[in-house]
Amino acid sequence: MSRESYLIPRRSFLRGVGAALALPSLEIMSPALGYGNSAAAKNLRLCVLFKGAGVNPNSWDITGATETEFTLSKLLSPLEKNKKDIVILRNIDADQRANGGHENVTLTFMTGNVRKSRLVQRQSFDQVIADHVGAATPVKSLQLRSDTYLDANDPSENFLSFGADGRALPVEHNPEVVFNRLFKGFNNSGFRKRTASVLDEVKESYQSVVRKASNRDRQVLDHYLQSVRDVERELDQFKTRGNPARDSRMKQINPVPAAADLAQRTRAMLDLIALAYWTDMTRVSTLMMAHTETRSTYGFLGINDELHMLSHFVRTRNRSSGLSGYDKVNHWYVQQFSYFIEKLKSLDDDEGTVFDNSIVLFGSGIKHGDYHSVTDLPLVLSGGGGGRILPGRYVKYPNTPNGNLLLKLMNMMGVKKEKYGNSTGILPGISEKANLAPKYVDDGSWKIIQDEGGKLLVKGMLKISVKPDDLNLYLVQLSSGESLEVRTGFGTVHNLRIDACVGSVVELEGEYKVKDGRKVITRVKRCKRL
Amino acid sequence: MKSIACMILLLLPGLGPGLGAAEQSPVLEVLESRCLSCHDADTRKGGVDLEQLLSAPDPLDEKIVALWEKVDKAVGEGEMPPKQKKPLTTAQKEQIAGWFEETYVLKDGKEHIGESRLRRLSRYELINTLEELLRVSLKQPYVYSPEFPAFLPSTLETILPSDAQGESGFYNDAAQLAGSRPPVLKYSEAFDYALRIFEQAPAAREKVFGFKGVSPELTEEQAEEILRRFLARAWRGYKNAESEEVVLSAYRVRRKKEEPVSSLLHAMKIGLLSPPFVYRIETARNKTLPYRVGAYELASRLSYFLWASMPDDELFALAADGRLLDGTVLAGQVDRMLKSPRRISLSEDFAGQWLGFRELWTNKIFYRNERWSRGIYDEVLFFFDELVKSDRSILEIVDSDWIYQSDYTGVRASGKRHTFDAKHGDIFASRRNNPPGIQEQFYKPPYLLKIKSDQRGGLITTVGILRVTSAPEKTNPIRRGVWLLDRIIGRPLHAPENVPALSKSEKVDGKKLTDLADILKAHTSKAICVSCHKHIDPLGLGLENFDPFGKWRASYRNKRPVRSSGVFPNGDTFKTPRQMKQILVEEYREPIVKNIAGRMFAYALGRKLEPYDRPALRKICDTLERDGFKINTLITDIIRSRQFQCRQDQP
Repeated sequence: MSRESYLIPRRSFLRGVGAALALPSLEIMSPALGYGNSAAAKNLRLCVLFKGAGVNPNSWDITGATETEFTLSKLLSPLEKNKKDIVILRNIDADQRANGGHENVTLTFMTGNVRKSRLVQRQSFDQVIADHVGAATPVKSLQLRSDTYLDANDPSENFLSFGADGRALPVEHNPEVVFNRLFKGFNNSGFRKRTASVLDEVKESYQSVVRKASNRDRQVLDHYLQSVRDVERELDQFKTRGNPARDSRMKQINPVPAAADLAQRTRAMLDLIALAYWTDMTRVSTLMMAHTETRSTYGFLGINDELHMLSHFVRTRNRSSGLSGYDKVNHWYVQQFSYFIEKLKSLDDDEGTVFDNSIVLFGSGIKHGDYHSVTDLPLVLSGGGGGRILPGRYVKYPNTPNGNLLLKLMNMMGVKKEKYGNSTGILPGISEKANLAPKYVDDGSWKIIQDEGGKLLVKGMLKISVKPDDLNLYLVQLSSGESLEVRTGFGTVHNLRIDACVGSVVELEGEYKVKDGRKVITRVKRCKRL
Repeated sequence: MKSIACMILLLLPGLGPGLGAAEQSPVLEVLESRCLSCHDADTRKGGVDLEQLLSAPDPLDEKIVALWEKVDKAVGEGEMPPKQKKPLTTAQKEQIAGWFEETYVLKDGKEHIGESRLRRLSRYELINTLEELLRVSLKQPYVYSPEFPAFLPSTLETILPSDAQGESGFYNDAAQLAGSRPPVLKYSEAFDYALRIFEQAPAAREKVFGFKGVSPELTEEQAEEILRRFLARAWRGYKNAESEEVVLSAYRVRRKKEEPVSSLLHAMKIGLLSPPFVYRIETARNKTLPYRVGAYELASRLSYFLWASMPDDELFALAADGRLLDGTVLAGQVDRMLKSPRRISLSEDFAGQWLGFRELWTNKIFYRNERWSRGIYDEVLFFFDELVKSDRSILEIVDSDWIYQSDYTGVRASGKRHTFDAKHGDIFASRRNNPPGIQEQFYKPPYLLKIKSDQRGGLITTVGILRVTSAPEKTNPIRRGVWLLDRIIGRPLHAPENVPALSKSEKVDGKKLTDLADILKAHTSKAICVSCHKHIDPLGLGLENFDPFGKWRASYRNKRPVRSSGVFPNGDTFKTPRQMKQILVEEYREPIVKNIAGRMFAYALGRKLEPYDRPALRKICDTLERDGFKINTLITDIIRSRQFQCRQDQP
């Protein structure tokens, strides 16, 4: 078997302007392509880059910023050159029932709801979109992962995309296989013809088997027929329907060596998505860059601890690479995101670049790596969105369900829907300036309300502080400018969902001790978001 | 809700005496008076809400059944109510156990086996089946050669996607396979590949076609005979004249344009892509209670359990005239099948998944170098096979006075090479055939060692297992402990989500926490930790003498001595791994045996075990105990069970 595998374009085509010069004919041909004429049919692409296992909030969060003036945080710093290409989203929350555990944080990321069944989910939002735009391309959608880790105990954590029947869609992890699917195989008309005739005969045989099968067996066998039909549909889509632009681009794709580790595999997958968009092989893709419970290690960064262990940084503080290792890994993931943005920008589209006509969502299903809080998810949106995204902004929403964001993305991709999952409306402030007034204004009422015998009730803004030697400290900021420290056990923070209230004004009831003349809250009884 | 009302009516006979519509059943009274103060919907202590059980019982609601199983177990094993509360009376306990039995174990007062499910072949089974059917070799050859690094997947493994383990813990789980889309396009690609290999193997062609080199003069009758014979094997006895005709006509159509051989191959491909090859279709008779399956169906059930592959010619012959249904013939076949090298699937597929050592291949984290990695993998594989080969006690998984040793630098066990009187032959003989033109280098299978020292013994001290239960660079006693609890003792635990970490500054018994054992000691003094860690830690600590690469060590790198000592919840203490293993074998024998038997039963049935499987499992465990825990007794008893030999068409 050949060991040289997937391909990337020759260098000349990776250089934005250079590509235009090298391919003058493409622009001339574009009117003949005939992709419909409505604005929604601008061949918009959607890509979701999922990186599980959360972040260290302190390193992720931006502080003291306005919508247009902001300084990137430590983890977001790789996006410095892309500052004008992104919208950083704050206070987008997943379904609160997912709070605190692993089980639902991957499922809810793209479905917006926790469901009773672990096996059958709502159709994920990317698939709703794929149903809408997928017929125009050979491949309806790509589900990929560059992280090889899979959870055998809870398979539902391994998937982001769910089909209309609620079942998880298969995810490909081998770049070579993805390459073959996109750029070999069905692109050969002889192969397509042969496969089609085989499928016709198989369907005939299938029908005679089903006629004799029991009712229960029929239900299972039906999946087989569905799968046959999927292949037939793809065969149909692969008929080039006279798309010379695609053919010309296909010819420019060259082989490079196979991926040996996670870093190379991630690059390969990102390249493949970009190429699939460039050649309009598909318009919808998802990539799981890190499983939320991944046991992957990052030897190429000098980190030999497992990411999932690192993410539980409050409880696994004595790991060799510790908090800095966790930050380093997340930093690397943001670099990959930036790489992808640059890659899309380097590829010419019929109008502008592929980047201009893409929507890319990067993020994690949880915020705090150890507490698994699902409020204020780490999310960054990028791409031109065919003019539907106004980039270069930092938007601090009032707490909003992630269904609203998914609904907005669906709308931009041309799916008209009023409601999806946990949505309460369509997220504003993406295509236009949000101009949101800060939700919390210090009205002077942030102070200790009751104080008696070592017990107190306080109102103020809850903040988190994470330092390498002080991993579990929360602060209640008061109107006076001073902050009360909250130093309480892991169990308390977790059980009272204290971490999920960070960034909000809270009423907190507890006991304190005086240390160095300052009150330090050591036990918390109640923490309520106002 | 109409369906629920029906359900209640259906179940009424099973509810036991004294339960009318208005009347509260005694078992619910026990629940209400003794359990709900902690386990109501509001308090949900330990995350357990028993209020849901007060409504109508529903043997089809998996969540409710699982919850009842939990109650039954906690009460049966005396874990609940907690020690500080008044214990349940014997009558109350019997009420719960009896109710459970009546409602969830039995059906109309009778034992049953649940609804039989259609099973699709797992990837592993599919590749094995293609090898047997086409009489070709499709796996990576088991030789040491730069051309065939052991950890490179075979071509078919790169074409076919891997399966996900179902709730049974295995890839062959019917529900899991039914829930995921069959990869038809990949099947097509895989069959193309396999048929190409077949085409290039004259010996295989001759066997399958029955002709020495098919000539262009092949008549239509001859071709149909070839195809009919092929389909009989490929579909494993499934008969359907219409489907067969589709395949034959595929040949005729193709023959108009092409040579006989390529036309035959095309028709064979249609046969392979037809559902009866990919699925194990059995004839349903729409009965609500168990009935015996046909001879061909039994042949398939046998071969997929013991070989993870299709029946061979002898099984087919015995199925054809029904002799296989005879108990003596069946027993003879089981014996023959366990003697065949194809039993390796029990080690590779069953034990590999159950004990998790397949990860040595699939997870790059554990890779060190070709020789070492394959060496330690083979040690575990041969260890498990030795159990079957020499019909040994399953308890030797925990402790034994022999091990298998590969030739690699690094770990060495003391002792002499040894040969037992092996009943059965060499497991890998067939796969060690050198492919033509490939020079074999270095590879020697591991050899049996009789050990004298106290260090090793039992599958749990094989280097492979110690490696997969470690972090990349250090040991993780908790992971090892959880592994032993889950995989060996059968008590799965989930990582706590809301339990605090021990802070470094914390003191236990006035002493600062300096080394690992101290930290773990804190686990037994802090109430929140104790409930789980009293079970986990002793097990993990007992293996601390083995470093992350499975090497014996007496001290850590910082010169601190390793302490492989600890206390079990019942007060038993140990100072060495061997002592810990002895306690395991003596004190935990019952759950260990039940766990191993249950895992293998689930693998054989391709589904997770349900409450209605309990009587059968009990019977299997009882026989096992009488027979010295011999593994082949376990295998035979599973095959004798109604679950294995019968079908049932309604749940």
